[in-house]
Amino acid sequence: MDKLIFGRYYPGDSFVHRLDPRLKLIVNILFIVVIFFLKNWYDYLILGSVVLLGVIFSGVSIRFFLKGLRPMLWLILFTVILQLFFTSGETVYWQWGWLVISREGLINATYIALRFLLIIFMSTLLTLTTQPLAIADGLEYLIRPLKAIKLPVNDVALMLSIALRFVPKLMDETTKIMNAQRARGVDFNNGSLFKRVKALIPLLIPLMMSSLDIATDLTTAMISRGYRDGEGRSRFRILKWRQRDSWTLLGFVIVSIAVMI
Amino acid sequence: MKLTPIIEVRDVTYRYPYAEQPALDQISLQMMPNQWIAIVGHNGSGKSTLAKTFNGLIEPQSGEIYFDGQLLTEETVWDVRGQLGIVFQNPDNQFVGATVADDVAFGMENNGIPRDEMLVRVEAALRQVRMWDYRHQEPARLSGGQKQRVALAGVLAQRPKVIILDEATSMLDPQGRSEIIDLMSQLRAAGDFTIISITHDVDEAALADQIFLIDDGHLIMQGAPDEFFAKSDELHDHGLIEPLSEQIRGKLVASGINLSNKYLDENQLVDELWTLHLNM
Repeated sequence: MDKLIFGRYYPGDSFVHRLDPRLKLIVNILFIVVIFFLKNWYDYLILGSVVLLGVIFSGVSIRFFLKGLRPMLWLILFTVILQLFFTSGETVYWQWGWLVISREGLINATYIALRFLLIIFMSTLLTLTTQPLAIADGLEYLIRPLKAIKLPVNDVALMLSIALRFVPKLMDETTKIMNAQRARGVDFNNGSLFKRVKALIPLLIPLMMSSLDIATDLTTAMISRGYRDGEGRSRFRILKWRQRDSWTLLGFVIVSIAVMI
Repeated sequence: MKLTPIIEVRDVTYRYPYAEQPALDQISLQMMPNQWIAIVGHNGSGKSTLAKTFNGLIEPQSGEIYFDGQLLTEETVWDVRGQLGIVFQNPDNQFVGATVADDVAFGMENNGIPRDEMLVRVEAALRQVRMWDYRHQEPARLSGGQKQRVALAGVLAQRPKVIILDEATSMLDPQGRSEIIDLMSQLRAAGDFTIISITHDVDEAALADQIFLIDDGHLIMQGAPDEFFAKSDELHDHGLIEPLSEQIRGKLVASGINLSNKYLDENQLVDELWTLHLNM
């Protein structure tokens, strides 16, 4: 329950786990860009092998990746069906009104499905092998250039890490309030949609109140421990870019260039 | 040579926004360094408000605060916050870091202490509160008492002159509570700092060198535990009950048993009782 935001971290000590979160983020972003430049089956095969390699080196069972796929299944299916029936082409296999299944449509639909599949596998690889906090640290590093446009990067990073830290606490709080309201006769699980939405009000308002209380307490504690703003702070947690990160990046860039030309 | 009080409060008045009564009303007091000081009073007496004025979390409408002889102002307040650490009541709502070690480092990060120094101090502080083995844990996996020990480590890592426990044990189970109190006794024996514990638990207050009783924003009385608890009438008037040993002593004296006329802790009371008719 408490790993809600960034998916499900799978503890481990594999090669992929030990890669720098910045590297994993960069590779993910590059990957999404590269995947739209693919032209033929061989390119998909190569990128597919890259992903497969990552999965193998992560030491995480493929089952967890398939689980990551499940919430996206309907979106994939919907897009694939659209592509399949609404792409006109020269070789038509089947037609009924505006619905056409053509050779081009079939190929496009398969490509789209493959793109989805690969992107989801790649991002699941990131979330399964990287702790949420490390992802937040990596993000902070990558958005540093935005300081130039006056974005308070350090504050944003602290906010992110505090938000992550309080997810389980707010979950607890929600359960507590739900139980308290159930004891007073609120029914969260039955009735019409309208009734159920209405039942959420006695949940949301106390939850909001208690969040504000927590925020006030936390602010007091932070100020009393000398927090002013993000500037002039030193860092306890640091990221270490190692040789294996450079090599992995180099390898990925070479593969990317190879498939794009 | 006259000692400089570590904290001196002069004529401080503070009224919360929209409140009719001031929470602190022309209060003045002095606290001496390297003592264990307890501030007692019932809920709403103003004792926590008082503590919040010490490091500028609350800015009084009138009056002055001196920290180690230095007047608390907008310029000095950050310096004071580095030297005065507070452990608050709610273990969850003061845990800033994502892990135990991160949380201990938070205060040092704010003061720009270099990372190498932080690593050393985090380890030392966590070992002091016996939480080093938990350094990679997330707060959700810790008990209330463990979280308070981490909060205490965060304060210790800043090397403060004053540690304030603002009802820090009131949300803990008896075991967590005694862990914190034991820890404070050990710390006091080991280091040189002033401990201020704000509490309505008289047994906790009885461990102090000096006790201040606050009510309605006034200082009612102050003294060492033996004189302080002997004034049971005043205590009752302000919503407090003396410790169990003092209640027993009072009842024994009332029924004509000749005991010494001052507060005795449990051991002293037992000793006095069993030696009462000893003719040696």
